[in-house]
Amino acid sequence: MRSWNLLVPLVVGAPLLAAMGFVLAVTLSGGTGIGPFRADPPRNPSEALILGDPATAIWMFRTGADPAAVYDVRLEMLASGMDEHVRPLLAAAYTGDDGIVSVALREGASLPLDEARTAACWLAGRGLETISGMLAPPEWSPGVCQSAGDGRGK
Amino acid sequence: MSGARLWRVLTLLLVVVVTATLGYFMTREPIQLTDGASNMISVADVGAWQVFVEEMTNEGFFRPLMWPPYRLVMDWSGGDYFTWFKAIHVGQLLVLLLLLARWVRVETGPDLAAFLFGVAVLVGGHTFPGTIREAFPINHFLMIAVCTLGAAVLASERPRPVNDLLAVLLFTYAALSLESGLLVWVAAVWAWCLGWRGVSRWGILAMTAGVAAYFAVRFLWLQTGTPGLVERSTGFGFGIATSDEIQRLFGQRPFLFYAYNISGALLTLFFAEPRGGVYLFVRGFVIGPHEPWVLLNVACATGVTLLIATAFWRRRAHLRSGLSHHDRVLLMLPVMAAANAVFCYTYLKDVVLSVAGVFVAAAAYAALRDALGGLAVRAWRPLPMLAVVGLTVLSSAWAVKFVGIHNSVRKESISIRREWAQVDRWLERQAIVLDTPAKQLVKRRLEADALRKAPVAPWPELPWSRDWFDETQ
Repeated sequence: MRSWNLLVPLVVGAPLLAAMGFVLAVTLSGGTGIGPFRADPPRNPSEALILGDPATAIWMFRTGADPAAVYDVRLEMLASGMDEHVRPLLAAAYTGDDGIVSVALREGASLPLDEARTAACWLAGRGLETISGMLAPPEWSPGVCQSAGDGRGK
Repeated sequence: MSGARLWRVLTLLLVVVVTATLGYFMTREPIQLTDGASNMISVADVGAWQVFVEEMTNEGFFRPLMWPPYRLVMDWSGGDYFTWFKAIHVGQLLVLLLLLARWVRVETGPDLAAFLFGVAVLVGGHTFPGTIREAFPINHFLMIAVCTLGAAVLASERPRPVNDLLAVLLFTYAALSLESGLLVWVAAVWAWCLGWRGVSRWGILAMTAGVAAYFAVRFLWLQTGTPGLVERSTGFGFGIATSDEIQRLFGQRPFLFYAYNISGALLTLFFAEPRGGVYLFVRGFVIGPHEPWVLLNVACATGVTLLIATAFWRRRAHLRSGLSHHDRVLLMLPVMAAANAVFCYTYLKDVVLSVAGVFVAAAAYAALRDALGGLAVRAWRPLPMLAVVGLTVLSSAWAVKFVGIHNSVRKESISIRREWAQVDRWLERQAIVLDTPAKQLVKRRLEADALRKAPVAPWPELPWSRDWFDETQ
C-alpha cells in the first residue's frame, strides 16, 4: 500500500518534474555558459542587428565597435540573397524593420556610396521602399536600379 | 530527519529552484519604459513624501503608496537601479512561494506532488505572468498577492499579538498602493469566518476600521471617486473596443458593462476565457482560426476547475461539520474569486486577478492532495487507474504552461530591449521632456542598464512552441 501511495503522486508529478528539470538545465546552461543551451550571443554589431537585437549593437558601438566597418556574419543567421560580409547598416536593413535601421543610422552606421546604391535597389526590389529610401544616396531613384540592373539576381 | 521534516525541506528546495529559474529570466529583463522608466523619471526631482501627497489627490485613483517606494529605492540604490529593483522583484516571487508553502502545509510525498502541481498552476496560469513579465520597478500586483496571501497565512497560524500588527500593516500598505489591496481585508475576514483565529477579533476590527477610514478619506474627504468608463480601451466581445465605443454602447447604462467585466473575470479565472475581456476561444469557433495555445489554456483551467469542484463534492460532509486546514484552504477560493472579480468592474485585465489566481493554485493543491489520498486506497481498479491517467494528462498540460512562462518572460525581455534601443523616439512620442539633470541622469542610468546588464537569456528552438506557448501572457 505504501509503495502505491508514493507511486501515484510520482506518476502525476513526473511531467512537472521533467518541465522543472528542463528549465533548470536551460538556466544553468545559460548562467554558466556550459551545456547544450548555452547562450550564443552576437559576435559583432552586424550579427546583433541581423538578429533583431539593436540594444546589443548599440552597446557594442558605444564601447568602441566601428559602425561603418564590415563584419562577418555566421551563415546560419542569413537568409538567401544576403551577403555574409556585412556592414551594420545593411544588416539592420536585412531585418526589414525601419525602427532598427533608424537606430543604426542614429549610432553612426553608414555605407559607401556604391554599396548604398546597390542596397537601395536590392531593398526596393523586395518591396522595402521605406528602408530603401533610408539607405539611398541623395540623387538615387528607383529608376536607377532598372537601368543599371543593380540589386537584381543577387 | 522525520518524514514530515524531509518533505518540508524538499518543498523548500522546490521553491528555491522555481524562484531561481524564473528569477534568471526576470533578471534578463530591463525595467520597461511604459509605467516603469516613465514613472521613475517623473519622481526624479521630488522626495518620497511629496510623491505621497501628490498621489493622494489623483482623480479616479487613490494610490498614495504606489510611487514613494520607487523614490526610496532609487535613493538607497546609489544609482544601481537595475540590481536593486530586480532583487526586489525576485524577492517578491520567493516570498510568495514561501508563503504558499507555509500556508498549504506540505507533510507527505503526495503533498509534495500536489504542491508541485499548485506551483505550476500558479506560475503557469494566465493571471500570474503579468506579475513577473511586466518589468515595473516594483510590481504592485505581485506585492498585493504577497500581502493577501500573507494575511491568509497569519490567519491560519496560532494566535499571537504580532499577527494582528502584521496583518494591519499588510492591509495598510496594500490598500494604499492599489485598489485591489482591499482584498487583504477580505482574506483576513473570510479566514476568520472559516474558523482561523491567527488574527484575533481585535485585528479584524482594526482592519475593518481601516476599510471605513479608506472609504471616508477617498470618497468623502478627498472625493477621489473611481475610474470612469472612458479611462482606456478594453476587451469586449471578439476584439478591443476603444473608450469612445464603450462610452457609446454603455454610457447610459454603465452597470451592464460592469456586469460584463465582473462575469468575465469569474469565467476567465476558472476557464481561461475570456482573456482581457476578449472571447478568444469562442472566436476561434465562430470566426477562426483556432490557436492551439488557446485550447491548451482553456483545457488546463477547466481541468483544474473540475478537480477543485470534485474536491468540494468529495469533502461536502466535512464542509458541513468539522473543517480541516485543507478544507479551509479550499473554501477561501470562492470568496476571494468573487471579491477579486469585483475589482475588474471597469477594466478586465488578467493580472488584476492575480490575487484570486494564488487562491486557485492553493485550492488546486488541496484538491489534488485530496484526490491522491482517495486514489491511494483503491489500488489497481479501472476507475482509479482512469483518474490517474486523467491527472497525469492534466499535469502534463500544466508542465507545458510552466515551461511556456519562462519563454514568455524571455520574449518580453527582447521586446523591452528593442524599446530601449529607440528610447529617444519613445520619449518624444510620450511627450516626456527630460528638462532637469536628475531626469536625464535617471534615463542615462536606465538606458545603460537596459543595454548592458540584461543580455537575452538563451532558449532552445522548440518547433512546437509557437503554437502551444501562450505568448500573450
